[in-house]
Amino acid sequence: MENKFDLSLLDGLYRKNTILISCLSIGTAVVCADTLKKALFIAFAFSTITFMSVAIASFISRNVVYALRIILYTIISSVVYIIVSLFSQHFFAEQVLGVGVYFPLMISNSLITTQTERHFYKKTKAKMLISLAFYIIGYDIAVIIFGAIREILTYGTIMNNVVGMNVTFSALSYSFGGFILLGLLSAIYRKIVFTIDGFKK
Amino acid sequence: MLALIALTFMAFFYYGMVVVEQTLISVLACLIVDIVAKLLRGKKLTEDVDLTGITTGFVISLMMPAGVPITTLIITCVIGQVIGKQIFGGYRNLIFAPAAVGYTFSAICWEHHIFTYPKPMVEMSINYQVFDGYSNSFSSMLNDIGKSSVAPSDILLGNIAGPMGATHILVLAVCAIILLLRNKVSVMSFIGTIGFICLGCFFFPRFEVSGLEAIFYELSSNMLLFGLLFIASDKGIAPKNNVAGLIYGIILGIVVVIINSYFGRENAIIYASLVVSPLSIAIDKNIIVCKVFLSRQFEKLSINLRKCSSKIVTQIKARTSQNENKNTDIEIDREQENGK
Repeated sequence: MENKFDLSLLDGLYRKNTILISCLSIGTAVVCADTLKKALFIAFAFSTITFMSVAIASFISRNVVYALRIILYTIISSVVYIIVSLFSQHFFAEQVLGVGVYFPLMISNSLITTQTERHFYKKTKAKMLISLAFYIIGYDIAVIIFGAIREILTYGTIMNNVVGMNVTFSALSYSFGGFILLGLLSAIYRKIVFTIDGFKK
Repeated sequence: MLALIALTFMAFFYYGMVVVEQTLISVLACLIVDIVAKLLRGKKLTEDVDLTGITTGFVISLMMPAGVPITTLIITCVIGQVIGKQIFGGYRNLIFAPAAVGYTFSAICWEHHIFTYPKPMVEMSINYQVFDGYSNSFSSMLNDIGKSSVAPSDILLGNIAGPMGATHILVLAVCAIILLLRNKVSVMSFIGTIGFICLGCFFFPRFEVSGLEAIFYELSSNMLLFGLLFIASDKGIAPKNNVAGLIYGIILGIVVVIINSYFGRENAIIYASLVVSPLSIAIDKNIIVCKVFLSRQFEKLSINLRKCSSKIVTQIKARTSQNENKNTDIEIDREQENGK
């Protein structure tokens, strides 16, 4: 019996990367992820809040009205946020301060509020969890790479260690600089994805 | 282009060969970015030739202090051309002036390179690293202290510390007259901005001087004339329509005054142009829509007026004919009475 792995489950990691292709939930990354440490914290917070919220919310009946379901999803993610926040304040106190208001705003990220209905809950539970995990991993990888590149270009350091850059671009530490860098990275990533897809075809 | 060459020549007179080197590097960097962007788009080099990179290169070079590091200069050109021009689709779809984008980016990243200037008539080479001869610009001093001890003749001739192509006020004034008369820049935008700033200075002078002196200092500092001529009033950026151009110019003037008064930032015209230039398309469109709307309303009004006037004429004619009939009846009656 042939038991092939459904490759579309990997879409979130590569072809529909949350940040670089779909440009979802980019606010936190653009504004806050100016160092690798902050990017790691954002990845951790986003992953835990999103995965736990979507997993718990998947138990809500489909019979509940859509408007009410969305409110319930947000309430669940708020509860999850409290737990993650308490944990984070112990282990990432500095980063929590740095990310500021964007940390609680993660409870209303688009993977929880819209992608659940549009994408995840149309699948079986196992497939949904795998797909969600890859979407989150895709986000994490993108935000960590973005944070690392941004720290090198902005401060000439990586995890506060000097890397010996001759020229640094302090403008990239601002939100507009983050948008420019993310736009450039997104363009390069899309070019690579489309070129690879073109070769495959 | 000739105006820019004249300014480069003046800068060469004050700062020496470094100006030529800087300008060449800047122009080459801009042209290379354009060529690479064209190749990335899959177009042929001979197709739709775009030489605006040369102008941008000249403008960026002249906005910089003499002896700015090569890396800073090249990155300014690359950022300006890529983010200010190529990502919007090239020179036909400009939203921002590429030189303003590049300059602003560099001003944020390398403030100490962009806002410290060598004194004129000091020989130097590119990548001049000795900062003893460097000082803040005349504009910065004026913004901070509010008065100047520099002789007006030195200000007019550009014998002051500042961006190497933007301090020669006399040459800039001549360039402005030529460009305006030859219609090479948006005349109404230029007039709107200059007019608003001059009125503002005259009635509410920012510096501790009389109204007319304030106008002189305002026009000769903060890269105002240069920025207005080669960045803000550029025909690729400013609105095409005359009324829209005037409105755009006034808004630009307001933003310049706000930045100057409240933020005291040097070279406000560059930042103001970044804020206002995206509006120019909207102003242009809305003015055209307004014109069409007004012309339709005018047509309707004229049609209604014609109808009204024709009605009035017919009524008057009817009345006059009635009166004539009455008169003829009376005359007939009289004649009959006379006959009897």
